Amino acid sequence: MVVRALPFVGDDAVLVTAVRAGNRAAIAALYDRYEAHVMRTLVRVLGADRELADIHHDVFVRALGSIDELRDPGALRAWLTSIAIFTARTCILRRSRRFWLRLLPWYEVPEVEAPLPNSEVTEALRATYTILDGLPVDERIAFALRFVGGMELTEVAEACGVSLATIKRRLSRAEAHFTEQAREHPALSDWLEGSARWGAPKKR
Amino acid sequence: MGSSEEALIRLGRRIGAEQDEILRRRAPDPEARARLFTADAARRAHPSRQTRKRFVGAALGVAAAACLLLCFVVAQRPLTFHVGAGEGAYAGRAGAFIATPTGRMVPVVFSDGTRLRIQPDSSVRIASVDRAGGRVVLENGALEATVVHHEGTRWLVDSGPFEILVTGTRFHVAWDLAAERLTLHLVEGSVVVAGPILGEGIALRSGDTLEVNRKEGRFVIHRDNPETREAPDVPQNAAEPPSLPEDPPEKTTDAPPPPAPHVPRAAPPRKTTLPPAPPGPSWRDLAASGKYKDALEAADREGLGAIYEAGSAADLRDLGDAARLTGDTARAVEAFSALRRRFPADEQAAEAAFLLGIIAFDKQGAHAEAARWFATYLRERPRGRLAREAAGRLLEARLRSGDKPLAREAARAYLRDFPGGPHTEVARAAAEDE
Repeated sequence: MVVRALPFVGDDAVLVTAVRAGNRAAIAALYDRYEAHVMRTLVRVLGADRELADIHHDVFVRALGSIDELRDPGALRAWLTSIAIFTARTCILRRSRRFWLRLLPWYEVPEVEAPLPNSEVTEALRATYTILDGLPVDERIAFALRFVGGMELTEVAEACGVSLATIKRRLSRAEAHFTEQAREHPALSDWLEGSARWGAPKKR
Repeated sequence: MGSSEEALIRLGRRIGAEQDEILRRRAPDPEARARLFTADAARRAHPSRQTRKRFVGAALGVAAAACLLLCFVVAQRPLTFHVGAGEGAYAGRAGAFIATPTGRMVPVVFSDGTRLRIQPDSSVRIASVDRAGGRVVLENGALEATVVHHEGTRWLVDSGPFEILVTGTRFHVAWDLAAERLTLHLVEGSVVVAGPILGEGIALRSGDTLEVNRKEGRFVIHRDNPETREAPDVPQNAAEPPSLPEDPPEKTTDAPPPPAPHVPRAAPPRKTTLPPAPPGPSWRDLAASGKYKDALEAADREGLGAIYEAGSAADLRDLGDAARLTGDTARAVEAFSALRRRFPADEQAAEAAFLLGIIAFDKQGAHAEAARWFATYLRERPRGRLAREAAGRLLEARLRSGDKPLAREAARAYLRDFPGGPHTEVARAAAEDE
């Protein structure tokens, strides 16, 4: 006879209470409910990243470690989004410090990743994150959440834990930097020339 | 909403959809939940240790932060510099533009001891300075640089389209804007020079003289130690171990700096000329590193006809992509057509059909022809990795060419095969347009 635990049932507030009490089924349910959302958020910010699985794991470990600090259990999703963004941000900053240190011996010119033969969208995707890699981390995050993630400005501001005005400033700078570089990039320039290939944009 | 923002939203939406598709295909990680349980159990088992760690960490953090702040304030101060010599010298600022008159050399001295001697009839901009170095743009003319090495020193000298990365060294560089010729003579130390023809970076050592003729697409390195350095360094990601024995520096301090662009002034080094073709990195290397324009130029030098007839399927695909991405439609079509002719059963040949469709659609506005290519791809690879894209483009191409019955057919096929795909809305509208 196989005995299986019953799946956890309840809304986010109930779920948070159970996770705080150490209920394993609740922890599993937390993971199942939000693993895809967290992964999507990380992918938006980081792009294709070799460490995605580890960073994804870190987000949930951090969430479990600080679940007692969540004031409004009903806002679990937004809270997890913030943790994912914070974790991705830490990762980017850690790497940029490493990269800086690694650059000091000038003769270590980094390897250039050979592009795979891919479709134009994949080329555009890769080129987008190549440019985003060069932006300041906060501008990069704002840009990725707004344009790639399709989030509203208020959602971006909430996820980043800053005011709407700050997000607008960051987006404005990011947009200018990105557009300037994208126009020079063969895989992106067509996209910025007003091609309506994919139909008129929707208001988001 | 501005057009730029609209374009970014369009681009972002497509990229987001592509990411979602990649995530959808991602293999589930059956161990992920188990790892989370283990990590959570470990956390719950050692709460006090964590608290202690946090307290000790916080105390150490405060102390370290105070020290770091002090060091940071001191260390982050950017270098300062003076332009000119004697009583006429003045403090320069980042962004300073210095144009030297005929017959007069102007020195620039930085607070870390680095010195530039800007030769007569030259234009130089001190583009930026920071705590570890700066960026100097030699717009035209010549300069002699003596860069003092400190930990973390990083100077960049831009000469036209070329970039010279320096830590500690002495060199003369001349850039002739009109002739598009760069001449760099390294007196001591080592530098990396990157730019057109040279690729990602070519390492030079003391005694080397590099001459680049951009117009002719050639470069030459004159070296005075042919036994050890007969061939030029591999430009692509050239890495030079710092422990390599260096040639003795040339006796240059007693002689005046050479007038631009005549370098070097020491005993003439023995000359090593590159083989006639192809100079610099191969077109494949350049294409692989995303330098499509340079790749195409290199392939042209190598002989496009020979590549079309003897290259592999992957070569033809890469060459076609390089041409397509630099806007050279004619060559892209040639390469993709050669790929389809010579390797008709290859996966790449099917994708070449798709890309020929893209070219016909985007670059030539030939929508009927584009539709034929997309249909060809779908016929050859109905479940290929570009099938959804091809089906969507086929629909668009048929709509643009005004063929409503065929467009309806394409729309229905799209909705059947790729429900929820990025062309769903267009397909719904076309399918209902009786």
